[in-house]
Amino acid sequence: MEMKLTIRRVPTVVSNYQEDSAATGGCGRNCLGDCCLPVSKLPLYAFKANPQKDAPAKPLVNLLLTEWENRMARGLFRYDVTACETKVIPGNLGFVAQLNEGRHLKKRPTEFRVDRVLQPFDPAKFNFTKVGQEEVLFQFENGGSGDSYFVESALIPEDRAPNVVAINVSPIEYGHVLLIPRVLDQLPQRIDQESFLLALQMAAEAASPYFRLGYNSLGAFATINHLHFQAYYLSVPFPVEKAATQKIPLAEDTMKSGVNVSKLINYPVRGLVFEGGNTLNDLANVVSNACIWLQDNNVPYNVLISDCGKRIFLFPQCYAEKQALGEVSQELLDTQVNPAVWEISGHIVLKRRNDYEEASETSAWKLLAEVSLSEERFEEVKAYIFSAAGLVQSDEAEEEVSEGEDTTYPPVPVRPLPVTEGCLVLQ
Amino acid sequence: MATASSGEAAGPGDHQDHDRRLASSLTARYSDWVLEALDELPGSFLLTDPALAGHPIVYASRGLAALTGYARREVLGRNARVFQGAATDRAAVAGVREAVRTQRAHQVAILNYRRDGSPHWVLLHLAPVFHAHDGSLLHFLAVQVPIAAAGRGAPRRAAPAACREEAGRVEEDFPCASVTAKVFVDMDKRGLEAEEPRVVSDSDKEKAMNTANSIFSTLNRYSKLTGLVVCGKRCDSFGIPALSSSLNLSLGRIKQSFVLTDPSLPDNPIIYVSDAFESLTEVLLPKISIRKDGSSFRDLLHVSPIRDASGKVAFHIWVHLDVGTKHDFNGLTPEVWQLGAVGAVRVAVRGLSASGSLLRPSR
Repeated sequence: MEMKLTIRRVPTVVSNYQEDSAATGGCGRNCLGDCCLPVSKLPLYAFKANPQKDAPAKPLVNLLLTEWENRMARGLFRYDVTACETKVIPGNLGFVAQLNEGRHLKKRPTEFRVDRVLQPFDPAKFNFTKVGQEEVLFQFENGGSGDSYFVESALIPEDRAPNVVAINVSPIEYGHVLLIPRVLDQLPQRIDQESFLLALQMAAEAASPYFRLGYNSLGAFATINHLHFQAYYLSVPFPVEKAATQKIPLAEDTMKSGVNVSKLINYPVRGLVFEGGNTLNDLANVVSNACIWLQDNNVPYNVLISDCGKRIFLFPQCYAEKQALGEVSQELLDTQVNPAVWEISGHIVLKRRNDYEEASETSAWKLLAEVSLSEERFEEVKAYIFSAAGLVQSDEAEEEVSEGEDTTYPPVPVRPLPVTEGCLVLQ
Repeated sequence: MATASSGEAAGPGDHQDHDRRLASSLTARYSDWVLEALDELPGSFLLTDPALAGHPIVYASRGLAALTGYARREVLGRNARVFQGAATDRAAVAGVREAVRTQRAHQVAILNYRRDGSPHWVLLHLAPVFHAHDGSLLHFLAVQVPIAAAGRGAPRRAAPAACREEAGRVEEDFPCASVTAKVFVDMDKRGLEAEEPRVVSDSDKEKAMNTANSIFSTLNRYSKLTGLVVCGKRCDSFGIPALSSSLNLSLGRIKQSFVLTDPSLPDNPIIYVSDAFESLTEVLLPKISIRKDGSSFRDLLHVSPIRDASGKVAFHIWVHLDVGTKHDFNGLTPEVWQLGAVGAVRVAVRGLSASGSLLRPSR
C-alpha cells in the first residue's frame, strides 16, 4: 500500500469559480473551456519577439494595471488589497510584510499531497478552464518581430491553445495576475521549456524591475494542478534581490550559452541565481532544464523571475515535507504562512495582526530558514541540476566552495540607505 | 557644571521606570530598533521631547561622553540647558530658545560646559523633527560639533559677566539657562581663551549637517507608524503636504489627465495636477477645491480613493474622462485608457508609502 504524505491547508481562492461545486455538463457561462472559448473573443496582447534594448514605454504594465483596475471597479476581487496594511520591516534585507486577514478562508482545510511534485491533470478538480472570461485580462501571444500591439477583441487562435493572463481574485498585491500557458491544453503544473520561455518573455515585455513572475511546483505550495505562473507589481526591492551572491565559476566550454550561475549567500533560503544568456532562449533552456530535473526527481521548488527576466532565482525546498512529518514547530505553523515563492523572496503575507505588529527581520529569517534545504542536500541537488542543465563547475571553484562553508547565514549589513528626500535639515 | 542635583530621590527601580518612559518617547513612534541604530551613529547629539514636561532629553548619543564628559544616563530626563553655563552668551541662548518656540531649525556657535566645569565651544545644530503627514512636532534634534579656536587676538566682545543667580527660573524651553553662582566659581581659572568667540568653518557645518541627516535617515528607516516620514521642515501654513520628489516623479510619468486631492484637509484641496489636466483647464494650486456640489465638474470626473501602505485613504484621484476624444490609445477605449491613471497612481502611492517616501514638506 502506498504511503502518502499530505498536509492540510486552506487553499487560496484564485478564481470566483473555484468554489462552485463541480460543474456538470453544458456550461453556458462563458468559461475558458472547450465549450465556450473556441467561439469567444478575448482581448489580445501581442508582444515583440525581439524587444529593443531601450524601449522607454511600458505598455504591458500600463495595460495590465488598467485592466486590473477595471476588474476592481466591477467588484471581481474578494477584497481590496490596497486596504491591507503593508510595511517594509526595518533591517538589512527589508522584508515586506502585509497584514491580510481576508485571504484566510473560513473553510475546512483540504488535504494536499506533498510527496509528489508531478501529478496528472485531473479535469474534475478546479482548473483554469472553469474560470469565467471576465476574469481574463487578455491573451498573451507572440506577435512576431513587429511592435507589440493590443486588440480589444480578438478570436482565439485556431491552430493552438491561447495563453491567457487572468486575475487572481485573492491578490497579494495590486495587479496580481496568473499567466496560464495554453489554457485549453490543460497542462499539469510542471515546467517545460516553452512555457518557461513565455514567462521570461512576459517579464521582458513588462520591462519593469518591479513586475516579477513566480512559480510554485506542487509540494512547494502550488494549489492548483494546472500550469500557471503568478505575477504582480510591487515598487520596492525584494529582499532576495538585495542578498549577496557568489558566482560559481564554470568550465570554459559550458559557457557557450552565456548563462552564469551564482549561489545565494547570507540569505535564509539556499538558492541559485541564473543570469545572462546570449538570448532569452538560452536562459530559458538552462533554467527549465534545471526545473525539469527537480520535478522529475520529486524535489519541490519555487522560481522567481526578476529584473525584467534577467535574473532568475531557483529555490529547491522541503517545508511541506517537514510539515507532513511533524518537524515544524507549532509556533511557525500557527502563523499559517505557507512559504511559496513570494514569501521566500521576502514578501510575507500574515494573517494575524499580532504577527504583523511583531514582524521583524529575525522572525522572517527564522521562518524562511525552515524552508531551505540543508547545505549538504543543497550541494547534492546543485550537482544534479548542473549536470541536467549542461553546466560544469570549473575545478578551482570546487576548492573555493568547499572552504569557508557555514551552515548559518547571519544577516549581512548593507550600505546605509541614501537619505530620504525631504528629510534634509537645513539649506 | 558639577553634579547638579536633579531633585530625583529615587531608588533603582524608579530610575528604570523613568528611563523606560523616556526611551518610549522614541520607541513608541519609531521601532525598538531605533535606539540601537542611533547608538551606531557617530557624533554627539541629543533628542528631546517637547511634549513631555520639562522638555527633557530622551536620547543621548554614544559620542556625548567624549565631548562633554557626561555619561548618557546622567543627562537623560534633564533639560538640555544642563550644558550651558555662566559664560554662555545670552543672546545665543535666546536665539536657540526662539528657534525652539517657533519650531525652526537653527545653528549657532555657543559656549558649553563639560561635566567637570570646563567650557568649550560647539556648533549647536538644532532641528525639529516633524511628522510629515500631519505636521506635528515629534522631537528636537541637537547636534554638537566641537569647533576650533579663532585666531589669536583680542576678543571681539567682552565675555558676559560671570554667573547670574536666578532662582530656579523654570522654563519649558530647552536652552534656558538657570544658573547659580557657586557652581561656576572656577570659571576664571579656565582663562579667556575659552571665551573667545569662535569662527565656524564650512567643514564644521557640514559635519553637523551630515550627522543630522544620518539621524533623520535612521528615524525614517525605523519608523513604526507606516507612512510616518519625518522631516526637518514643516508643511506650509495651509497645512497642505507637498509630495515627495519620488512620488512626483512617478506621477509625472502618468500621461492621463487627473488631479489628486487630500480629503484629510479642509476643502479637500488639490495637491497634484497632471500635465495633461493642466493643459485642459486653468487650475491654480493650492486654493482651488472641488466641492461635492461642483456639478459641472463632476460629470466629467471619475473619483476613486487612493490608499497608502497603511490601508488608509491618502488621496482622492479625479480622472478626467473625455469620451469624445479622438486619440488612439493602443487599442483601448478612451474610458478604459483614461482610467489607467488610477492603477498607476495606486501602485506608486502604495510602494512609496511602504518605504516611507510618500510625502515631504513644501519648498
